[in-house]
Amino acid sequence: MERLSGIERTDWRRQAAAVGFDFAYADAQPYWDESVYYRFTLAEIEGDIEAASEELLAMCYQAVGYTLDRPALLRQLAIPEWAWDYLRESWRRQDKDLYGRFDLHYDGRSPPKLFEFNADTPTALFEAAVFQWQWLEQNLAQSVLPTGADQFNSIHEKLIAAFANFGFGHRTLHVACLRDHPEDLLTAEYLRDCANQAGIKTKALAIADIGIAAGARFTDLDDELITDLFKLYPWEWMLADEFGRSLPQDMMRLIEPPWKMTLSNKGLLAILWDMFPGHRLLLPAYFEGDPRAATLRGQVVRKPLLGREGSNIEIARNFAAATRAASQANAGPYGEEGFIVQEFRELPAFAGNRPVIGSWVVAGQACGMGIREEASLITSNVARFVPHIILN
Amino acid sequence: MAGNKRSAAVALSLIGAYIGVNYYLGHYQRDDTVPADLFTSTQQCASSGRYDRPQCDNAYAQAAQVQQQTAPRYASIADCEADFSRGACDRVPPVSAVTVATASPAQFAPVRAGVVIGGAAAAFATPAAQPVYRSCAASPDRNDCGSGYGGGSGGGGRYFTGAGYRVSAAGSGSSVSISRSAFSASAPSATLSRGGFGARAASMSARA
Repeated sequence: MERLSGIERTDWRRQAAAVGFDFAYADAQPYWDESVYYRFTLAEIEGDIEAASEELLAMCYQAVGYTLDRPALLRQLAIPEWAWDYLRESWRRQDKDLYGRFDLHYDGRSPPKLFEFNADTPTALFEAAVFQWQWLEQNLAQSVLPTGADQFNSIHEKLIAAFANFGFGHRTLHVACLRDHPEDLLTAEYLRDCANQAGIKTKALAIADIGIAAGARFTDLDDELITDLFKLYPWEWMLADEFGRSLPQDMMRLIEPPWKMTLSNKGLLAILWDMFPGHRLLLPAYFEGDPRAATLRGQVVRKPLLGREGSNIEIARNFAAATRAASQANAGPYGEEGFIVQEFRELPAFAGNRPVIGSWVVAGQACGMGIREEASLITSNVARFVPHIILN
Repeated sequence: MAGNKRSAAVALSLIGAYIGVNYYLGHYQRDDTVPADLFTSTQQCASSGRYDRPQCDNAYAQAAQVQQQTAPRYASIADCEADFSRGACDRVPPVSAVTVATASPAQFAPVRAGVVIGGAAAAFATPAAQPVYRSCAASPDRNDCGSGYGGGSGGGGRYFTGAGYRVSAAGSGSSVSISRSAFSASAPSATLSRGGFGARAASMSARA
């Protein structure tokens, strides 16, 4: 694993603009950064990143059933009790899930460590699946990168195959997201594109335009019933919203399915550590308030159960300091549901930049990677997306 | 040549054939709203100065007809009251003879709370009328519905057409705004309300 200098394509901004990825360069500090790239060996990708992701995913699937069987855990995850059977039913029915992104610590020397699993509304998908792929192909075509350079990235193919396998038949897949966020729009529209390519009829709408009809059936703006919905909108928000309580009464199938709520919660990290203590891919983690949390040595990270984009995550020099932080005001919108504490693992530094590996899983298979880096130890919404290659 | 760890081809069908993100916005955009007026009686309509008496009578007759065809129907009064408010529902005659023969004859529908008339801004050739229903589903035990609407039409709650289009207050008096589609042909699914998801949208993106 190494960080190398790249030659920026002269027209990448134009290419980004043409596909609605113009937020890649909208800020003073561009989000997409191809002035550099990371190089991995095939052994690092297959032996470390890919193998670890598959193993973690298998552990996560085990954790779903384990959690759904334990009311105390569901309570700790702050999942409302009225929804428990809704989650269990979707798991028992084996509702398919689509995708997720593991955020991993990796330095090329030791096994990856799981920071967290974005199992419900992961984004940075388009740039990983498409824009990064185009960057490689164009660099190869221009002989800027050596022949034989590859990329851990079959995300696009796997997404199309996954949609084809959902069994929608002649039903329409509705794709919904928030209206005013360009990144959400691009992610939703990209997934709708993949579904279309899989031969599925799709329809886009805003989350706020979903209607409800008699009998708790959900409708679109044309008053057609929504039978299948991809929602780029967090599950915990759906449940808390006005229509949330109608969800269990309806037959509408959702992607991600309800059971994914047990994974899209940082409480998962504590549950995994409890199920697989000492596992080489995990960092010790506990629910805050668990007496065992006091056994954590050295620096700890305190994470809200339902945080996003690094909000409200704090690094404390030890557990006692993390506990004190609990009583202080937080800058950020998350945390009311509770926290976990996880052993701190410092991100490796490459010329002062700290990359976190976003390892993508689609339909149960590890299939690609996107790297975001920033100088900070907590990766946030100002991180830059940096492409990668595989070359021995 | 594609390597074995990456997609052999990455083609896009929707994305890429147009310029910029505004294209997406179109897909996810709420449809247009038009100005309209909300009245709770023909009397109020006629004295509003917005329409004359024959126009009001005509609109009410039109709304009554639409109501028969599109009012949300329930098998039990309890289900109906849960969506609207206590005391807001009544037994109604079945839609047609066919219904009597094939389905449960007991049907309940919300009582009309008023009529919304569009066309004041020449959006329509002739004024179009829709019956509207008042819902205080958030607090079904309170017939006063709190103060959700806030317009000059009395009571709280929210007003919806039979297809679920919400009536929004716009300015003073009877002025409201409503989706243009609210006046189009009757809807198959009779949406009762919209906007029940997305409450956290204003402040945050969903990305993780």
